[in-house]
Amino acid sequence: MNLLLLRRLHKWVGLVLGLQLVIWTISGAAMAWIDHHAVAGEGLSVEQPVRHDDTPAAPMETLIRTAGSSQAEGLRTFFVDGRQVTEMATPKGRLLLDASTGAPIFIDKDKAMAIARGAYAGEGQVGGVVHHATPPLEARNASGSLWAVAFDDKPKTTFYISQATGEIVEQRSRAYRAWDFFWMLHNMDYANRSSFNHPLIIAAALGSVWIALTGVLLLFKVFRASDFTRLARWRT
Amino acid sequence: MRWPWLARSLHKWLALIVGVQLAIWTLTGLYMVVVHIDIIHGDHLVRTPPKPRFDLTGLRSPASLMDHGSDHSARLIALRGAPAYVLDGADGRRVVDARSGAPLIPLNQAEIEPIAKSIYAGEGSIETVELLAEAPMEIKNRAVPIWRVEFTGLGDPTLYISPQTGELVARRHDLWRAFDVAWMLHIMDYKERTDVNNPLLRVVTAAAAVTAISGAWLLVYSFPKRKRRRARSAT
Repeated sequence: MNLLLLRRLHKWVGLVLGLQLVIWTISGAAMAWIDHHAVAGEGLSVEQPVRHDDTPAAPMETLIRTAGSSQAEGLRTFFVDGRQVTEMATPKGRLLLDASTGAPIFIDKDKAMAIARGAYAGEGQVGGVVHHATPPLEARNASGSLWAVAFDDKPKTTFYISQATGEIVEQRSRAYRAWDFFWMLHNMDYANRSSFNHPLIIAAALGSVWIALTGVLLLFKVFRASDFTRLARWRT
Repeated sequence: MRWPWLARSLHKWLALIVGVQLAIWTLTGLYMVVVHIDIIHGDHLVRTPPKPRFDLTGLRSPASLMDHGSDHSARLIALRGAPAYVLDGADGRRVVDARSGAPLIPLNQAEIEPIAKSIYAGEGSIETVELLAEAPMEIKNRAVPIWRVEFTGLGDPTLYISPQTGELVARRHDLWRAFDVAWMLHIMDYKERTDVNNPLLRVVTAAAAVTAISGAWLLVYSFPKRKRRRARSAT
């Protein structure tokens, strides 16, 4: 192919897509350099020791009585802040019960704060607690209403706690937020940051394939033997 | 130093080093954005299981069956048509009868086949059923032993089912496998396909960023209009 035509096409598509190519390479490099362990929130919390007390477990009859239903779509027992709890999904709704007493548990603001403090591994103090009826952007993979417990530490740790179950569903910090910003730039889904299968990115990807392939072809044309002899001279 | 010369040299020499990887990034990126992630995940290969409905009357409470000191969670499932608890803890997983608390034995091949058929929503029929003692690369990190059920449909659709619970653990097909290769090439971790912070990727992405920035810089000198304007202002 004509060198001039190839270079022109490379250049003009580059003019249209240049900014996105710069953004892709910079955001790609940023995500490669930001430690993914920190992004995942590792080290922000400690694994809670499974604390068993000697109180016997409440029998099923007690749980059924509190729930007011013997029908369930799901039943799950786990630990919240060192205590065993049972989550029962009945046709009427979801309930959280103390596994020892069968008493209902409600995850209010104070309880959420206690859960967050119990799991927190850092040096800071609770700086604020916010209730979210639907998950905010940085906890978008969670569902239901959440308590956001923010600590006043350096990494700006925030724990998201499910109001329904008391589980810590997300742990966010500065590393995650920085990563997520670059991830948004990379996937071009500026509103939700989650989809990478939309028309804009498909069009941009097609254009970038063009740039890269013509660029590789151009490499065969733009180098002369003299470039490499000069390189060899520098080395000696 | 002449700035256009610097921009051109940077762009040219860096592209010589990372150009092929840039082309690989755009091609693998294109594949990953064009084929929808739900298809990659194989959502079309499986049916959504109906919501279970349990009658809790007469069952033991899950907490009463948990092993003090090791189990950290329990959940109720239906196994062989009867309620059972899956107990997870430091010592691994146990599945017990929800009425008696007696341990339940793993599902055998004759039991797995109808389960696999009831989950599978794609074309074709069962080709092979095998209990794997070691997790293959495409489901690494999953607990073993695990049943692998391969179907005859297009793209070698494969379901992985837990022998302990009868639950679908993973689904794979050729579009997923191609995505996995694209991902490997994209993050340049040719061994584990998981480390997005590997040194090679870090160096090459940094070089690629300079390549793109110098390319954008080069655009400033590459359009004749500028020259014309400069020529006009000179007169």
